[in-house]
Amino acid sequence: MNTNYTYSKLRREYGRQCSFVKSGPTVLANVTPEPGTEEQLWSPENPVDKSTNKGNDWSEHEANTVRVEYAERGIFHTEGGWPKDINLDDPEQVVRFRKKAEKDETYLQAVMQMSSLAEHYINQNNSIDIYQSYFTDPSCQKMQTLAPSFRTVAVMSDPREPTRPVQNISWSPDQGTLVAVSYADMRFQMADPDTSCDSFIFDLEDSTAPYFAIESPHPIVTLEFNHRDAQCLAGGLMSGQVAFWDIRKSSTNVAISNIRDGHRDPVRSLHWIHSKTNTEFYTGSSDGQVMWWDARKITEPTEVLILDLSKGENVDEPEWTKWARSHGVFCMDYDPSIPIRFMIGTETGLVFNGNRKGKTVFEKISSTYNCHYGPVYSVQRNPAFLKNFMTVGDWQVRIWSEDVKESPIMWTKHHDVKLTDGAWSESKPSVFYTTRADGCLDGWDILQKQKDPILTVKVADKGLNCIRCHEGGALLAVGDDCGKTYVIKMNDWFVTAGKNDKALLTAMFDRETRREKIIEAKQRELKLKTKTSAKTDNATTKDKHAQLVETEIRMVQEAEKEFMELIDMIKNQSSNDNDNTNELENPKEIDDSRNNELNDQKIIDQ
Amino acid sequence: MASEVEDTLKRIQSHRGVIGTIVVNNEGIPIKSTLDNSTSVQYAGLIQQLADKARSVVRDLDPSNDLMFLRMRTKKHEIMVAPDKDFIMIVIQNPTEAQS
Repeated sequence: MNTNYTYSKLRREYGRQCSFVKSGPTVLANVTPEPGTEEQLWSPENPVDKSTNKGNDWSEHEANTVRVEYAERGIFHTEGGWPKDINLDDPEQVVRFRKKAEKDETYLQAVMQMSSLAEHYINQNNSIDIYQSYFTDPSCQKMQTLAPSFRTVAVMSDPREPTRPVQNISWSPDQGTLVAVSYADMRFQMADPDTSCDSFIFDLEDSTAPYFAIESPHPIVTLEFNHRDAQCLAGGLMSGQVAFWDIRKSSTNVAISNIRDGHRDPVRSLHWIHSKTNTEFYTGSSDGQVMWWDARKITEPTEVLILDLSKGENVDEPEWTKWARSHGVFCMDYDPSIPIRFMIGTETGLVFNGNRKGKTVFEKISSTYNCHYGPVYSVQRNPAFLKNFMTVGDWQVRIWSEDVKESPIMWTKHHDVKLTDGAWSESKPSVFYTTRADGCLDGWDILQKQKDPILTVKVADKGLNCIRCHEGGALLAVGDDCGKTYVIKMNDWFVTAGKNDKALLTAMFDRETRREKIIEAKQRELKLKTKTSAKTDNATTKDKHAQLVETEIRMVQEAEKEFMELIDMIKNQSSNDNDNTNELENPKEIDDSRNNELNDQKIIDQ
Repeated sequence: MASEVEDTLKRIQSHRGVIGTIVVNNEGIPIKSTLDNSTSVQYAGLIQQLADKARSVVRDLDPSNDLMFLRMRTKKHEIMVAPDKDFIMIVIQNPTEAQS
């Protein structure tokens, strides 16, 4: 069987052969807008929206879901188990069978046995309700039975060698799973110039490798996600510059500020501002300046505030004298619900409560709190109680109220190790966390325990550097000195606030604030009193002073006299006893030795 | 012996809250019941299967173990099942009545 078939077609019937030629783009026509003619050519009209259709819209698709098939089934129940020779319809036979069965020896025995067992339980039921629910009392139900615990979800180490300490952590907005970690060696002139300057973004879904690398000309001290757009990040560099990254575009920065106009020290803190444009952020640095920036034009700051609070300076003073007097920024806080306010913790232990709308420095820094002797390592407002904020410094955590400037309303004990950072929980207002220089993380709940942390977690061998809480409340990210970032999931104990927590905490903060206010008022009163009494008693004090001096002199003379008498007495005795002169200098010893002698004599007598 | 059994069953029935007592043989036939025929047949058939299943569960878990007693708390009653080699005894009790 021949299956071949030859099909022939002439070349010319295919048409012309294609020949492709490379050529650049050519402009066919160019219509450029003519400024000035617009008004003459066009007039705005009210647009008309109208739609027409001639036929029905149809659409067809081949895919279809599998049809579920139903079938009805049933079971016919019938009384069974009876011996074949017994007809169920004949009651006589049934009764006879039953009678026979009842007379069976095994039946009798079995019933006796079973009934004793059943009776026991009947009696039990009659005497006590074993299913009674004991804990129906509402006060019992409120009790937390869950024990506080944690779980380490992920550990992300610095991909570059040698590893650098983690300086700042930022969670992506809207409860995202991305974590931006900035690495920098902040030791003064100690950092190896060859270490990498890159920072990284990790994804919690796959934490083994970095999700994205952020490249930078200088080490990044602080890196923050934009609160609206998780693709945009702003970072403050060691060089005092700020830079802007868009991870859709490239690893390298999109824009960077001029060195001339930026900070003169490493940028310690950066926060995005919740404004209309969502492109504004502000930075603080240890050079004592706070700068406001706009990410659209990042080359120079839009506003500069020098934290120099000394009064009465002349206006013509050069800027550098102000710089010398200013307080270096160590940390800052920003709460989106009060967008024009900001909080600054300084290296000098002060906390400034700022208002951006002020015109002068003193209007901008509306209040100052003398929080610590050393640097303030962290300051943060409680997310639920904006009037209360927490500061970390001096081996201690302190909680302040905005109204009381003299002293904190609550504080923890002084720790044995340095505290490096602290943060309030985002979901439970009474919970905060602190990191320690010995690698431990403390979880506190001020409603449960004020003296000690609820939970202490040994996270790392090296010191922890920073902490950031996730918006969801359960996740924490802590960074340590050797470049590792730990993501820790706290259990529900730390996440869900109790029903009355808010009310209790309000009461607690109010009570403590009132207490501090009363103490403050009392101290002021006391000061006033001593001042006035000092004035009135000014005249009489002189006499009193003279009297005092006189009596003192008299007393000294008396004491000296007594002393000399005693010495003379001892001298006489010692010469009698022929004791050596050594003992003379120490009358006490003489007494002792004499006592001993007496004792010895007594013993001999006995 | 037979009269003694009768007395025992009567005594059980006389306890507070007891609704009914059924003795079922291993074929599922109610031999002795204080309830009406259709209810006792239903109880006998269903509970006997359940008791068999429960016993097999216990035995499967540990062959040296055995089912001693089965009590079922329901919204209305407590059904107590005492299994034996050839028979099972079912006692239905109303615990709320027993408590009051």
